[in-house]
Amino acid sequence: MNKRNKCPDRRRKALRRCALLAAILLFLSVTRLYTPLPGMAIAEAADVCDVENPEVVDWFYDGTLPITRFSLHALVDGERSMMLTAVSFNPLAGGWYYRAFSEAEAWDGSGLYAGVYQHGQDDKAVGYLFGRIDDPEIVTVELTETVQAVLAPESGLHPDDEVTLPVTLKDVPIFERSGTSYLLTEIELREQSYFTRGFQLTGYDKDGNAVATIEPHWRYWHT
Amino acid sequence: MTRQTYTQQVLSCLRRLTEAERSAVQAELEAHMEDHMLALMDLGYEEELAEERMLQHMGDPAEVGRELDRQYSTFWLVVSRAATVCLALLAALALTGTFNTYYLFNSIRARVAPWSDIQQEWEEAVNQQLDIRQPVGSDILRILGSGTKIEEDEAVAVVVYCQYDQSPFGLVSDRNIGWLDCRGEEAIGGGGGHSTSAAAYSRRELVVQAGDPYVTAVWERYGERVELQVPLEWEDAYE
Repeated sequence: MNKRNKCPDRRRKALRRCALLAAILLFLSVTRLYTPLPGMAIAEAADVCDVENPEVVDWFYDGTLPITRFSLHALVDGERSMMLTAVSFNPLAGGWYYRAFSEAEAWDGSGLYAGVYQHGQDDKAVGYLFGRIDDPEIVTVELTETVQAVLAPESGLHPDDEVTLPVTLKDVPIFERSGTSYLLTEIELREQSYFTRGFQLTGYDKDGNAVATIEPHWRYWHT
Repeated sequence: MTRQTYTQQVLSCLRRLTEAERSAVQAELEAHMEDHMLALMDLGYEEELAEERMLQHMGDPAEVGRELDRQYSTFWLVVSRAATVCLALLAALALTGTFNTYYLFNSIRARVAPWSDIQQEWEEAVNQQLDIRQPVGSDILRILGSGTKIEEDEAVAVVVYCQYDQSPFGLVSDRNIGWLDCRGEEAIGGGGGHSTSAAAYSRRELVVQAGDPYVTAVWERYGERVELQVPLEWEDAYE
């Protein structure tokens, strides 16, 4: 028998099936009929938030809430805004999908951009401060929260008045990635977060002088 | 040795092949041997001699079998079967309605037949149907109609509109639209809406002054501002 090496059927069959599988997955991904990868869910969240050209800066896992036990969290930077989002996977519900997000605009040249992400389920809740620091003078930040004075009876104010209280950051918030300084840290939430009226973030230089103060956009999700 | 014996000796060396592959190899081997024999018989050989010469030319059956077996890599069998399992899984997911066809359907419906997804009372509140489209960020704002009414001496403008992503496969952003009256002041009012991730429908009722020729939709993002005038018709204002 001629022993010349012709391309075996087995390899051809395998390559044809892989090509068909790849073509179908590409079609499903482009049309978003099925999102087999977490990055696609992030792209969807970015579409909803208007985050242009999103790029994931950092991934992390936080399974505090039952609903996010099988989720991934991602800090995402875009052209003029950024976001923190949680994405989950359900093979019977279209693949990966976004579950929660909070966005922060980052276009006005102020040098300090931030958002607050809060997600609660039953009696549990998690909160994160995230953002970007473009001003090289800023080396530390401080987060405060405006709440109804009912949460601070020692202030002596009427319960409907507002008072500003400090927010504890659980980690060192600033880290560098690809030459850019980002903010990401879990924050300590109050039990009665529905009295929150807003946040303020102040950036300080190495001498402790306040360089910039902003009001981060915040979003609370309740599942 | 006969052709049948030769074939069986070759097949006995094929350890990596599946049943279907073994059958295919057997058929190809037998066809090849028959073609060779017929060619020899055309040259005048007797059948027995042709078979003998053909088998000599084929070579050692064990070596032929081992060479064939080497060409069937286990790796490609595993890849092929894994791809088959994935394809079967995708087919099962398609049959169970797992794919997000709902979003695509709603996106297309907002483009082609938006009024089919709007409740009747909204349609009745409109006294002029419009089709004004304006890109806002990555979305399209589409004004479907406006209406006017006088309620307890208060003039109200009603605007029905929808938003969807510029791409039929995209999701609508959750950016709100603001409203101004024709004097540039914020128009106060209420309304309602419903949405999927693919399209959002809204109805706004804005307090204006009777006779105002238009209200203005305002969209702002990243320092960019888009304004769109929505004409109002007062001749058929509801009372």
